[in-house]
Amino acid sequence: MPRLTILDGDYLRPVSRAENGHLKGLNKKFESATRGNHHWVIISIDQINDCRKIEFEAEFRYKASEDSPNEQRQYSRVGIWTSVQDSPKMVSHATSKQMLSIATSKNDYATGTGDDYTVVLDSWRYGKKSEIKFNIENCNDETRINLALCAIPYFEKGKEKNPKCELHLSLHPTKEGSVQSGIPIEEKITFQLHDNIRSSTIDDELKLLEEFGAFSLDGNGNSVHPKQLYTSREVVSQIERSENTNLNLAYIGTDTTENLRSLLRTIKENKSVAKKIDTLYLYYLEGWDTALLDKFPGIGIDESVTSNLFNLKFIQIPDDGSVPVDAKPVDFTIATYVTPWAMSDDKNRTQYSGLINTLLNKEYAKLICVDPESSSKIIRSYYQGDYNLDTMYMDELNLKPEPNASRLHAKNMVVECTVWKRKVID
Amino acid sequence: MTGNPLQPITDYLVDLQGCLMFGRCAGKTTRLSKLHQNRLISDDHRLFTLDKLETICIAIRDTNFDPNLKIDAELGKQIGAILELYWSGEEMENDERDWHEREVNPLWPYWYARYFDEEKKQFHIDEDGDTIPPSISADERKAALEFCEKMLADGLEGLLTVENLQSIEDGARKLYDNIMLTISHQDAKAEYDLIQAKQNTEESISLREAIVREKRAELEEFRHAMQNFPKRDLLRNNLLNEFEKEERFRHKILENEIGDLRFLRDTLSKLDSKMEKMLMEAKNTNIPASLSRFLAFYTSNNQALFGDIQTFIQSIKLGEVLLSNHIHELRDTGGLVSIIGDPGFGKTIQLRQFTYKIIAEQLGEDSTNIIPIYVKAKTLSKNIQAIATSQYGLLTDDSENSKEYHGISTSSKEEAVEIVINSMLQTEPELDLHIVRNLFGMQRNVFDNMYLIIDAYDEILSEERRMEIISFIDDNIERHHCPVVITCRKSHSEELTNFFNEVNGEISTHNCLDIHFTPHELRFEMPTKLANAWGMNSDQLSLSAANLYQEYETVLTHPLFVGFFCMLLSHDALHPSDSNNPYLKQSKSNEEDDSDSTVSLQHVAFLKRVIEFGLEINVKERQSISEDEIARIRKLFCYIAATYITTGLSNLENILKYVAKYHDISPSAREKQILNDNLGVMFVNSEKDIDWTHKTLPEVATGLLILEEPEYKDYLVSEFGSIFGVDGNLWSECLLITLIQEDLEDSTSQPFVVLSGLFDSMGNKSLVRTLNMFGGNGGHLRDIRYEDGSYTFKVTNTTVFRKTIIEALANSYFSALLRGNPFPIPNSILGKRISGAFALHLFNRSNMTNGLYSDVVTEPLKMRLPNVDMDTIFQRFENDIEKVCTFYWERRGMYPLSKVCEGGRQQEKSLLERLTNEIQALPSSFEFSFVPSYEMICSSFTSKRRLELMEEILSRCTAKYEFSIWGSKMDFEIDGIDNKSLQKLSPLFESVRKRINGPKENHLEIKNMVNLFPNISRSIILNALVISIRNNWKEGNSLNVRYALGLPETPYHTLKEALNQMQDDGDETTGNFEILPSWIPIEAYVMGGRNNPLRKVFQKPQAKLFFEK
Repeated sequence: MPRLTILDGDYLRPVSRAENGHLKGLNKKFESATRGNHHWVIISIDQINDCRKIEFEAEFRYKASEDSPNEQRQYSRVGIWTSVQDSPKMVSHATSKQMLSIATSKNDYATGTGDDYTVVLDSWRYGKKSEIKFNIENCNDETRINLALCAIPYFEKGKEKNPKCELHLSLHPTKEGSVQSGIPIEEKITFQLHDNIRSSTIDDELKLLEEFGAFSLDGNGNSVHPKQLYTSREVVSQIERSENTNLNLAYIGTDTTENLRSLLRTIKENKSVAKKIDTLYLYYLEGWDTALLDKFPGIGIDESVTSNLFNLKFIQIPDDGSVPVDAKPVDFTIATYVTPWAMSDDKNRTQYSGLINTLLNKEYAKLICVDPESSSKIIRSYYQGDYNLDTMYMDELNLKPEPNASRLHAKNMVVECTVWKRKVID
Repeated sequence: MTGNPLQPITDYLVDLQGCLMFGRCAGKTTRLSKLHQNRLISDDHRLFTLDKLETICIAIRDTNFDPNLKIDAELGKQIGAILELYWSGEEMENDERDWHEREVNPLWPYWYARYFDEEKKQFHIDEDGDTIPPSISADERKAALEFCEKMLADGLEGLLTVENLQSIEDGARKLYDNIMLTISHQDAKAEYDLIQAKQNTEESISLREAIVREKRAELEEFRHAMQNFPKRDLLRNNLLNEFEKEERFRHKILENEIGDLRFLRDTLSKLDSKMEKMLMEAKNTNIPASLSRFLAFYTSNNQALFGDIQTFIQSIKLGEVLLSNHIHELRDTGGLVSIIGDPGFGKTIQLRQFTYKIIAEQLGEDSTNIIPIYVKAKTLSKNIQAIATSQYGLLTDDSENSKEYHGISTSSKEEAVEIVINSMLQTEPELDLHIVRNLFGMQRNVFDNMYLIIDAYDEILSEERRMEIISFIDDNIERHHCPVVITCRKSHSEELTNFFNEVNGEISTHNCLDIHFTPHELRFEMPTKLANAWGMNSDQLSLSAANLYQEYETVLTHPLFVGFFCMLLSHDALHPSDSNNPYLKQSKSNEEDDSDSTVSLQHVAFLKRVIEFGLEINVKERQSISEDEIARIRKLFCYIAATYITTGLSNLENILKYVAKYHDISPSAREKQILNDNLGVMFVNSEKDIDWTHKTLPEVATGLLILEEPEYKDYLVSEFGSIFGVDGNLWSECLLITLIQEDLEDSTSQPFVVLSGLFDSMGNKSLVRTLNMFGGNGGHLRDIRYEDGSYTFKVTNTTVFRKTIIEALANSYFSALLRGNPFPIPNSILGKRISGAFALHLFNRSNMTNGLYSDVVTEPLKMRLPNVDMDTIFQRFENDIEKVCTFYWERRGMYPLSKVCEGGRQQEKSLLERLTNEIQALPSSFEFSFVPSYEMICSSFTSKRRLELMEEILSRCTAKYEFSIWGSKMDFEIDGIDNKSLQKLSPLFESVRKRINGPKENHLEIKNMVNLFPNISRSIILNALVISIRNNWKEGNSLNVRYALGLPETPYHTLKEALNQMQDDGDETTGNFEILPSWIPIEAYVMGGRNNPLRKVFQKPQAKLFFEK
């Protein structure tokens, strides 16, 4: 019987009020629901050696309806972080299972802890209900799956001074030889709004990510968020499909550094892809990885990390809002989770728009965008307005969308990957 | 290097998917795949599924008839519970549950329609040898739907659970296994072997498909590798030939695998036919029919009963159809699916989402089997006209209403290709021309793999062109077995069905699917998904939409308006909702019982915004346009809406002619085109008739026009007498709230400023309705004084709102009175009794034109003469006796026992005496033009003085005799009435006295009455002889008097008819000519008397009738 253990504390979790994102009721006059700060819950799953599949769910089971139109805890959300090896791993199945293997191999990622089990990427979901599915291969008594849940609870404003919001955890094991899953193992975490509760610091989070192996720059590192895997997968697919060599890439690094690191690892692991790349231009903001380097000195990214497979050049995005003078058109531009920065003010908006316009001003140039699939998939940060730049790309930059090369079309995924190109080249 | 021959298809799919990825919703860039996916429902699908459920249950139940088999008790119970519902109601009371009873089963037509006689390749034949058509009539559908609803209500709803159906499914699987085990007969064995062979073949196909996928992927991989191989190495090592050889080899392997797959599919098809044939034979010979029916069904249904159980349940409960499943079912045979919905239901988005999804599935599976072609019907029609060359004529079948259609069809494949390519590119200008040309340049015939997807059938302008499109669709279905999806508004759905049946001869499938959404989806799901489709944080928008929905629900009736609603919410541009403002609550007219009349301030404010933003958004989406042009379009739109409301015209061309003539505003050609296009608020169909996206939109637009164009307000007043039309027939809460929105939104400042300016141009009825809208009862003016050229007043205790509006009305009223241009207000506003100084004031101020007081109060007949001397009164009436008489008798007739004079009896006595004397003093030649009504005459029975005055008036009033019936005047001599008749007439006078509750002492014997008041008596008798709407026969014994005199209940058409009918042996209603006194004019029993001008009219149809007999 699998076991679900909460490693880092009690079932009752005090949560403080977040800085923003609170909801306003009728007429938008008064706050009607308080957004709690994001809160990490570390869990482990073990005793899984007789299972062939494990499905884990964390869910805020609240729903607004005609009877309860003001149920605002339904806006609570949760995401699951775990360590996953960046390159898809082709699992070696017996002949009889070969078809299954082919069908699912694109989705199966080996986990960061070893080859005992794999994560099915397209079943990894965030939102009011977060899910993850593991296919178990050769587990033993020691095998353990570690997950970090990041929850954003919403608390209803009411008479209660310390309102609560419940997160239900459930584990659905499927035993070897069985088609249906067995009796689920369930737990419940209750978040309670309190004043004066200290939230997790960036240091704590970096430590967690480091434990998951998120900051490595070589093949041993792990992705911790689906956006990393989707970005890498699409970049690799696009480069593979390209008929050109000596490709130039631009990475707009305004998001957290682990995303770039997973991309670098993936490209470096995929030698045929790396060979087609001439230079990767890294457009960065000043101080973008300061916090990381303060905590883990010596893991900074420099030209040497590409191991001479391709060039890595750094271009700083100026503070004055201008387009960097060194910016020039490239074959592929990668923009993952850039919206919060690009939309934070008019200066950034104009700067980003100008930069994209320049980078895409080349025949067959493509912009690979990875953004949250919907606002309910945004967990750690808070986006006040737009969470993607579709309107800017369509209406202002006159770009034309095309489906992603990795053919991601599943519904309700964590991220949306869209590829854009300019309709007219200057 | 050899390219992938199917690459053009993939390139096209990628390009088209890019075009379909985004659209615009409420003016914003919208990712269509994230929008809510509306359900599609079909009554026929629902009923077919219900019929299928019965078939399933019967097939299982009948296996029990086999002596060697016993079905599981639980399964039997479950099946029995469902089947019982098919026989519920009156049938249940009948113990004979045999096949004859099925004749009354409302699902019978669905059984026939489904089970086409495949063996004979013809439709079923009934007992008389007549073909039973597969089509289902509207009546049959209605009856079947009622049956379905009843079944659900009777318990089917509770039985249709996933658990129950899964249990039946499991039971059926066991049953199947049992049957297979118990079959011992040789043929049954063979059948079993066939089933096994089929299963094996299916498994082989599945394996082979996987291998094909694998080989294809390998080939792709190899090609990629070849492409990426350094060119110079390729040349240096002379590897190119090697690589090409290897590629050819791999391609050959793939071809072989595909060939094998094709062979396996053929084998499976043959096995299917063989098995069907065998099962058919088995029915008659070896396997008992009771088992073979189940086996045939179960095996042909892939060894399952329900398929996806949840879908099956939804199919019966709602009729839900999954479009992709539905259309894939048509892949081999072709057929038409039409998606039906009203304006604003999201038909185009539905179609684009569907196309996008098909492409995504294709690309996800690396498949190129389906080539979706997405075109606008209007564009397709235009290209058929421009390119096709083969003329055709078509005569519809209906012998009574046969109609000829002429059109053009393609004469070659090249023409068809050009039509489709041009239509695709014009529909989606972003499509790459070269990619599309490459697609059609492939060896593979695109038409054989095409899904033709056509948007907006109803937008094609003429009926002949629409028939042409249907003909084009039918060509593709028949030649290429092409599945076709088309969207169409409800208004044209019947025509589409008829045209398709006409052209296709009901051979191919045509399914109509209706777009369906629920209030829950509109409120909770669409806003969240819309925000995400716009790429914005959905939390606050979703919450605000859910909170505010109920306030706006009368207007949020479809996705289009939910889109506008969310757009306005996202811009904080929605009406500010102040919970203290009472007008924000839904109001409901007290007078109207019609729930549709319920509107609120939010409703109106929202529609105003929709006109403001929606119109601009929609126009700007199509073309660049200046602010001035937008303003002109908006003005034209408001004129169109107002003309629609005021004239009842609904045809845009006619409305524009009217607007040009009477308002001097005509659209330019460009403006006309824009008006004809989808404005988002108004749709013009192919017949140029206007559809509104909300029925109250034209009222709001009319209100805006009245507010913004003073000339239009003047026009309404001069043309209809008030801004609310003749008799206030244009008045609606919606129009009024539109006009006074400003007043209602800001009730804190000067109240009802706008409304005060409208009171004088409203008209009586509208004014009353307006006051009723704010609470009809309580509160009136008191202490009204006119001093120093101005009025002062107080308002009695009432609610704050009532008091506010009474004050606003009073200010407006007194100001108009001062100007000498008053307007009437309800008497009750001026107090329970208007008397004293203010009454005299009104008496002096009121205009005489339409009768005294008619310009100052809405019920002038309730106003009395002020208590002043007779000379003053007569002077006010300019000493016109007729006017005084009219004033007096109008009030007396209306209220026989009430006071007419403020001064009471004494004053009235003086008035009556003076009037009687003055009339007597008039020259004998004087004739009154004033004709006293029957009520006035009756009211004179209240006193002797009044009788005397009335007799005087009637003696000088020849017009009283002119009771004109069918153009003939009725008259008789009062002296000529015999005594016997007088006795019979006596109850008439008695009933008059009772009617007015007159004093008994005034009761005179009829003889005396006739002698003393011959003119009054004549009028009373004449009234009984006349058929009049105002006569209430049952009251006042009038009908009994007629019967007593031998008169029929109603006059006959002709004298001949009267004489034939008025017989002794008839009942009293037919009359009796024998006892009819001769003084009675013939007009009392023959319409129009002897010279009935309508006689011929009545004779003609009778002759025709006879001829027809």
